[in-house]
Amino acid sequence: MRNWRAGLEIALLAALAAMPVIATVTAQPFWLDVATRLAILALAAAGLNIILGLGGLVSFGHAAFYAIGAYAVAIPAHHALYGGADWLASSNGLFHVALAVAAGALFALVTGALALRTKGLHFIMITLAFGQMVYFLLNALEDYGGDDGLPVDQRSELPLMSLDDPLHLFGLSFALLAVVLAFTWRLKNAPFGLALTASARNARRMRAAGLNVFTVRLAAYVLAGAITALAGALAAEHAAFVSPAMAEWTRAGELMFMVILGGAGRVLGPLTGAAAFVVLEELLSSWTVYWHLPFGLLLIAVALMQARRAA
Amino acid sequence: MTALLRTIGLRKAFGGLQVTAGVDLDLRDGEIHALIGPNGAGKTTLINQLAGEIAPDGGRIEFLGRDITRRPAHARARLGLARSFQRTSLLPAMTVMDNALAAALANHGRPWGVFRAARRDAVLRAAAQAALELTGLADAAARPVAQLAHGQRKQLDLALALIGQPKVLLLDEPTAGLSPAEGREMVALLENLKGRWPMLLVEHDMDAVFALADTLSVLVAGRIVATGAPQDVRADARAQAAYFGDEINA
Repeated sequence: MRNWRAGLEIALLAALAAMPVIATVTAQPFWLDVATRLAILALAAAGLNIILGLGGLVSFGHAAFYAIGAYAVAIPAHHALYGGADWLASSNGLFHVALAVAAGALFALVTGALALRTKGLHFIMITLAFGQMVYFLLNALEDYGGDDGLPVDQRSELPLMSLDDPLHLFGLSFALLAVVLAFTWRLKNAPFGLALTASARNARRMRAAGLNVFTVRLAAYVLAGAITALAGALAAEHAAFVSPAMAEWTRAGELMFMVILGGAGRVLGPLTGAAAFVVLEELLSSWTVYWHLPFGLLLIAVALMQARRAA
Repeated sequence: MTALLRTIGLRKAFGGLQVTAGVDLDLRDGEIHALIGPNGAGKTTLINQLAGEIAPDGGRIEFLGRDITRRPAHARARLGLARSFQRTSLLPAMTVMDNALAAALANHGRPWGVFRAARRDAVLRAAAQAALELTGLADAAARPVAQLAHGQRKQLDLALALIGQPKVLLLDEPTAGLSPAEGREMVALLENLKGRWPMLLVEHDMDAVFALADTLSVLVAGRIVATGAPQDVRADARAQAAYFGDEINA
């Protein structure tokens, strides 16, 4: 069972890496687009995997970080193109990414410092509330399109690459995903990962052993927020569009679905989870416009199966 | 000899029930101080206040001359106040060694490494290995906790408390739930640790208490009703009525 799963994960990673070749040979640029979307969603889920998978904390507001990262690209780009807010206006991609990561980390630091004082159901509710706060805030930003969203009319400028080229954008997304997954792999067995997973299993014992469980969890939450914000920045480049819907709680639920389906705490789990999500979405939505129904049923089946296995 | 750990007028109530009713307790260097009392006397509540899991309503706790009454549990552990749990508190689904490593990284204040595997950290490994050897678990290091016998779980619970080279051990019923043979093994283990670690020992097994304790205190309804050398306390009428009476009559 374990080997079967690891094999699937490796095969998926290889298939994703080979996607530019596959798309070129089959003359189906659409596949590259799907692969880019998959890599970005997997990166977003990889962020959540650190706090939910390793830390065992059900953060239900993680879509907020995705949206924060996306708007951190769209807003400076908007001002660079149409003027206003000179202090923020920039078309520099490095600035955009730095802003996205910093904003995600800062929002995680502030909200995590409050949310991590609670646990269980309360933690789920408070992270959901923070997520909704961001959602309604973005809806209220009339200067940036309000609930209509904001097009990214000019993609960020990066040295040595053009994000208008689908191949470059895929390469960047895949490379960042690979770096984050490799980092998670090291982290998981390192003292920080052990402190995090041990606290998930028995926080009382870890406190008795002298661990400041709160600080460890806060650090993980900040890391998780920064990674998902980075994914949001890439999503803004990919879709050339941002909207409050990115922060919606259903999006947070989808990220949780990816992490749990892929196997919470598994290093490559976010990749399989995101792949399952993207493939199902494509398949089911080409089959019926009511694709959310079979999708929901499938989710229930997976949750029941995993619950049985855990029991 | 000065007290390493001292409570002064410690009080705690749950609703209308006074569980700790003005406890003055001294634990001196090098000694094993046993705390006995009937069920519901407030022994575990007292340990939990000392360890920092429950905040007292009044009174003070001093450790190494410092007032630690308001310090959180992890900070007390870092100062050298370690504890074991009555119902063992381990990390399930992990190996014995990983349990020990997790406790070691906490107690050594090294939880921030993100790159090198904890198993390869020489400092953590040495601390974990030493504690496992001391408690007779070195051979079981690779086994998952789920496969351990109850006696071994108790040993591991103790090992996790020993890992940070604490100054004081709080032991909450180390022989609870053990078979007679396992219980004797645990007592032998504690005898071996005696002198190296001062211990506050909550224990029901009178044979264990009289084998180990230098000082014995009797807690009844949240109050210390007798304290002194074990033989003297045994002779004390109040203590007999409160505690031994039951056993003698039974």
